[in-house]
Amino acid sequence: MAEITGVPNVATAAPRPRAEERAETVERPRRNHVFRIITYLVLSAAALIYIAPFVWMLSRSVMNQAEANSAIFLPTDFRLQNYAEVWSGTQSASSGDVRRAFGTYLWNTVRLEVITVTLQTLVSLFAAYAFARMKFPGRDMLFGLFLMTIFVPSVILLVPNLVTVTRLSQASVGACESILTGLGVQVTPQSCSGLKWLDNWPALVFPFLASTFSIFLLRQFFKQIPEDLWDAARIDGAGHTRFLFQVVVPISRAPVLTTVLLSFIGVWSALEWPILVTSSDAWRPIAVALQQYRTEGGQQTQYIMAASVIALLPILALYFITQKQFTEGIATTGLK
Amino acid sequence: MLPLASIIISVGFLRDFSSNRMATLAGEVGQTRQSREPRQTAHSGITAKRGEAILGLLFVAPATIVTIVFGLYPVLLGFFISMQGNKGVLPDGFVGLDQFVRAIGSLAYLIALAVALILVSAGYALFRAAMRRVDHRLNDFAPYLIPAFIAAPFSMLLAVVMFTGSFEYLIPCLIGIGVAIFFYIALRARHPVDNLALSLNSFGMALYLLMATFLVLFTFSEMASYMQPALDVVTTAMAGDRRYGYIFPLDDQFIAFGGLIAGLAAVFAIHTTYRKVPRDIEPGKASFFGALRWLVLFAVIMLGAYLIGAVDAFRATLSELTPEAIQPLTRTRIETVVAQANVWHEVFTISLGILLIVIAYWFWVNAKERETNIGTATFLLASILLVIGGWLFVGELPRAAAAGDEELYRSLLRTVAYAAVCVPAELGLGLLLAYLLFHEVKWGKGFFRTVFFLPYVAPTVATAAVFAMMFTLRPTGVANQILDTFGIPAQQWLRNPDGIFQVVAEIIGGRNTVLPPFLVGPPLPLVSAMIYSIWVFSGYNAVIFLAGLGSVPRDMYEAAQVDGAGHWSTFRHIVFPIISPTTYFLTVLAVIGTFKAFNHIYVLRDEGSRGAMDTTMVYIYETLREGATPQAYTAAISFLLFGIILLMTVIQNRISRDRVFYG
Repeated sequence: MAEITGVPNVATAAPRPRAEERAETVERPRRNHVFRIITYLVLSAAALIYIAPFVWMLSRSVMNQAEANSAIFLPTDFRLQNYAEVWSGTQSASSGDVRRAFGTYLWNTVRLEVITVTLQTLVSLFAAYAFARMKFPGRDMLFGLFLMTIFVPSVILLVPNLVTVTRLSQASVGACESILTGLGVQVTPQSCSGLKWLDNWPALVFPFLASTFSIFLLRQFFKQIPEDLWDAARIDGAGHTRFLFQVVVPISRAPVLTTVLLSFIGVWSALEWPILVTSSDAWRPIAVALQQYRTEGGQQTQYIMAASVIALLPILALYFITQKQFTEGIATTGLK
Repeated sequence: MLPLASIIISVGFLRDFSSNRMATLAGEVGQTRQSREPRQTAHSGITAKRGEAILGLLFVAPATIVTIVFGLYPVLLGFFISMQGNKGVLPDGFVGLDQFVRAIGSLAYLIALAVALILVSAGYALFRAAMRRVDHRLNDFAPYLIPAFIAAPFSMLLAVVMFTGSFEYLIPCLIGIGVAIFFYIALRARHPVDNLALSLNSFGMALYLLMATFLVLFTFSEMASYMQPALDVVTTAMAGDRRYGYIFPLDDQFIAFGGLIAGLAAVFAIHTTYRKVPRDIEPGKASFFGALRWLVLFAVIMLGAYLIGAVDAFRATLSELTPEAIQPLTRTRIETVVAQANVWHEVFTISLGILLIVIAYWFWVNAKERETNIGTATFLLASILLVIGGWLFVGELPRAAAAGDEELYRSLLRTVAYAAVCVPAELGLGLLLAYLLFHEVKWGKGFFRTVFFLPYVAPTVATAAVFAMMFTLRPTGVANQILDTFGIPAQQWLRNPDGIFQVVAEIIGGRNTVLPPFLVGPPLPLVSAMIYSIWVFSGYNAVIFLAGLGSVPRDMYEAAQVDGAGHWSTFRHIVFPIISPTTYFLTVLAVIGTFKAFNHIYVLRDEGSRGAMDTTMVYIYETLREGATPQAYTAAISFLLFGIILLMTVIQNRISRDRVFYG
């Protein structure tokens, strides 16, 4: 599809002048210098307050336990092995304290991220494309149904979804066991445990597969893609699926990236649902583990801080790499 | 609450839907376009169209299935669970509003009646929409009511069948719906244009009205059965006393209540007619209707007074109930009897109070239109008197609610305190920072913006864990160190359930100072959560406000400078109105966000604080997680929270309508 390069790039078409750039040109005569210095002081103090907890966290995470629980600010005994210990679960715990291996939890979260983000993006892409550019009976009614979910807060979904997931879990294990019995295989409690939903990835993934917001965002964007592109693709013999993946997705890189980011962050910091459906370390995500570690961790300030850094760094790295997408995508939607 | 959302959506959706509905469904657009295309492609066009329809359905199938199973069906299921009793933790059998009564006392009945009222008005709105359509297209609306009123009860029954699993009703349901569809098809043959919208409209109307009727009947029957033992006792106990003989079984109150509503309807009808009469042409008719209006209004007021008397007499009767009078008649405890008997009385009094306030509002609005000063003064006076009267009746509310779950109320109070501190602080700080950043800073703007956004971007669990460590009990913790530099003793931030002002008073006035309960302020752990919340969201608000400030046109500042406006007046009269959409957006977001706040409070939460940090959201979650409270009860209180959030959104929408300036 070489002709696509000639088409104006919809993704970056007509960027509005950035607010700050326009503001730079506002010339204010008789500007009071003292006032400006005070402003800088106020803003710097604010910035300090915003940054200080992060710095505090970093410095605590490399202290030994006595230092971490004292009032000093900078570590004298620089213990990078805190990270290694938190990672592998070999903390030198005093009596009553617990050990948790955050490497496992990070790996759990990464696995969950891969499954959820991939599936959710695919589901959203297909649905958004169909809603935006295909004709089928009941399309507008279905879209109205999707929009209804925006009004539904997560709190009223907790109980019924727990009931649904429990039932699905029992149903799939039960079906598997009866099939195995039918085949004449000896059934043990372990033989079908991979198919259960609770305390397994399906309970953590399936309820979040369809993000109404992503579908809505992508649909708005797909609608603006000029009809000529579709005509050209059709003449070249492409169907809807090829058109979607070879033309639509490449030119809508920006909104697709935004939805990917949103779904990534959503999975990373989810707490209320994962606590309810995970009971073992097999799929426990890092946010849940950190919450539990902080409740039971007691005196181990340095380890809790090291674990927090581990949970924080990937997202912060993502923030600094994709800062423009991040700020524009998340700031304007009010989602996190 | 759920019906409200569905109303909001269905009204908007029907409007949206009507525009291209028929075209899409009958494929008219495709056909007209096709007729312009060369003839030879006509056949392949139809095949392609069918292929596209199948492919499109396939494309949306996964998303649709997930959304229905985990997004919409749970709402119905949750509502149904909330109406169930419990054997242990698990839901077990339909019990009606019992879980709601357990949560908020007899207030639950009032809310059910209010929801019924909302349903009726939604049905009326749909009726109006249909009539408007009839006016425009000269299409008959009435025939579609037949299939609608057949389909509506059977679909309601179908929903019940689906959730209770009593499949013996399935066949009658399907037959009923089949009959409705048959009627619809028959009608469609007669009126080929625009019948889908009309029938959907009348179906929605029938559904809303039937739901409202059922809700009212159910509420009253439930209340009656709930009351019956108490009433029997009271009637027997009072039988010898002629003074109160006429009160039971509440006939007078019912007649007066019904008469009041009928009278108000009559006033409304006469008022509408009166306004339609062309006064300069038919002065006789107009003055007749005017006089009638006043007459009926007077009758309504008299009826209201009578109802007040009847309710008050009932209250007097209740106060005559003594343990000695009741003891021989029943083994039920006297408190239970009185509590049950009070339900009626409370529901009556409060709805009357609300009615009076509504009438007062109507008087207040009408006062402006009076031509004479005396008329205006009379209306204003009447309005004020009515508000006072209404307020006295609404004052029953705390007593009606007192039977509910005390911990739920406390958590609601905490949530309100949390929102009342956080929302203004976050927005104010955010606006201040954004304003300084926008106008005074030449370099480093990007740096400041990145830093301000940082707390919001970081995963909540990690930063909240840091704050939990900073607010540690140890005197060496950061928060206590800061206090120490001011010479204040170390505090148990996350554990001390005392109110903040109580803590301050103890610091100033010594250990034994005790403040009155209404002055102690939010508990210290909640204050810690507020500090965290302000730390996170003020920076976020600053970044959004910064974008909003960029939308103020440059020449406006210049014009203001030419006019000699100072810093403050420029901000107050130019900048603030222009960024009002941003402010509105952020306010809605902040209010909803604080009511739904969960993650950071849950991480900061200390078991030792005896729930001092449990906002409603956390309370709901804990009842679910700890596994001792019935799931049905959790479902019920989460619906209550949903209702509160929805109500706040609607109120904010109303308030902002006149104050937000769009472009």
